[in-house]
Amino acid sequence: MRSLLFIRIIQKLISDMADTEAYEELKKLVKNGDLSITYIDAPPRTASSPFYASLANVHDVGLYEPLLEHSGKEFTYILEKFEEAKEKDAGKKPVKIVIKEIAKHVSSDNLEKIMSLADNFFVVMRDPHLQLESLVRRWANDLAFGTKVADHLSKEEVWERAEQVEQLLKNGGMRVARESRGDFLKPVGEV
Amino acid sequence: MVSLDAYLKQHPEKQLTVVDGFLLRADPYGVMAEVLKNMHAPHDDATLDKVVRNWDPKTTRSISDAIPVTGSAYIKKVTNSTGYTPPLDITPPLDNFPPGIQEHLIETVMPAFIDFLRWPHRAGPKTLEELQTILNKKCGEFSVKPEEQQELEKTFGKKIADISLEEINPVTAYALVASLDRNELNDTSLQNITQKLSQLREQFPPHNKAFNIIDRIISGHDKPGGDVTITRIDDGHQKGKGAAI
Repeated sequence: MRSLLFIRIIQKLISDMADTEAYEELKKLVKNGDLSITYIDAPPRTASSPFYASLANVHDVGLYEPLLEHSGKEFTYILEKFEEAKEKDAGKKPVKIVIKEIAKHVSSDNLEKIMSLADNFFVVMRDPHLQLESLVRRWANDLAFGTKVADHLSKEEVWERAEQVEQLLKNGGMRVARESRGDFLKPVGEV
Repeated sequence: MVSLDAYLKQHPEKQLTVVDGFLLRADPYGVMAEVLKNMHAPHDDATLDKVVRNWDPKTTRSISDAIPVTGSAYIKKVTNSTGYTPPLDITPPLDNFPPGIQEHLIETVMPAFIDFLRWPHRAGPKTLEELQTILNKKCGEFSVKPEEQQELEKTFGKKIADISLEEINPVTAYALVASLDRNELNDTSLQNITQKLSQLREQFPPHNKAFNIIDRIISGHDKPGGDVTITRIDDGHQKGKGAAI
């Protein structure tokens, strides 16, 4: 058991070191003009996905919410995507990459690193009434039909379930409450 | 904790551009022209057409590659899009939200939203006149799905050709007008802003609570875009003020 834990710690250290190397390599590529990164940071339900889709049309590579999926290997993943683009077109300079991420998925450390890499940095916001209504709708539908199947509930049905959603957030622990955690929507009732 | 303000002061070569989701969808050509300009990218008519209404399917495919289409109705909608859709979601009154979410909206999310609207580099209209042109746009000017048309006409009791974006999004309208940079404006322009805010109050009384909150936030600021702080919390616990994104 102890040796398994030891192996995992070593694996994590190696992976972290590899990702730090990838970050340093990305920095060099940006500095030399081989790579240009546009970064979009946004809470959910703000129209950041259409904004990403739109900007992807003037970039060579689009990376949609990659940081959570590739946690711990974020910069290795970005470097891989750069190299793939370079393989397709060796003469391409700079390779333009647009990255869109949900703000709460990005740690302070990674945000600073991405800021240091990005030539263009966007924050997308939206009136919180509409944004939070959209999130409540998502959660109400999840509660009624299972996670992320579709938005079947009418507006009236969503509001009827709003307190149930709030209760869920208070209790936490369920998968749908995950979106409420982190720095976007403070778990209701939790200080 | 990362203070954007502090970071950007240390790195003047970096520029943060704030994009409001309403303006983006209400005036995609105007906002995207400014976005591309800020990026020092071409912003000719052909490029603008491409980024506003002729998206290459491979761009939206990168979304479904990351998040399977079957996973989310919203993602499915974006993946099937070829351009921006208009902002036709009707703003709910604040009292619709349960107390805990309402409190979060008032205390945390709204102040950050206003902070960002007042950021010096917000894409989109900068004057009341420019803003009013967008707010006056009628839903009939956009491509509206039959079910959306039915809902709008039922809610407002008139044809979509007569429903303005301002009527659908009065809180956004109030926030945008109230957040306009008033420095260096003459008395007439300042008066016009005050009049517009009063008019919105008279026209949309169900949203007065939200309008009061916006006024309170704005009156607490002495300069636009001041001290926007992004708080990152890795373990799900609140650690500071301004944790809206």
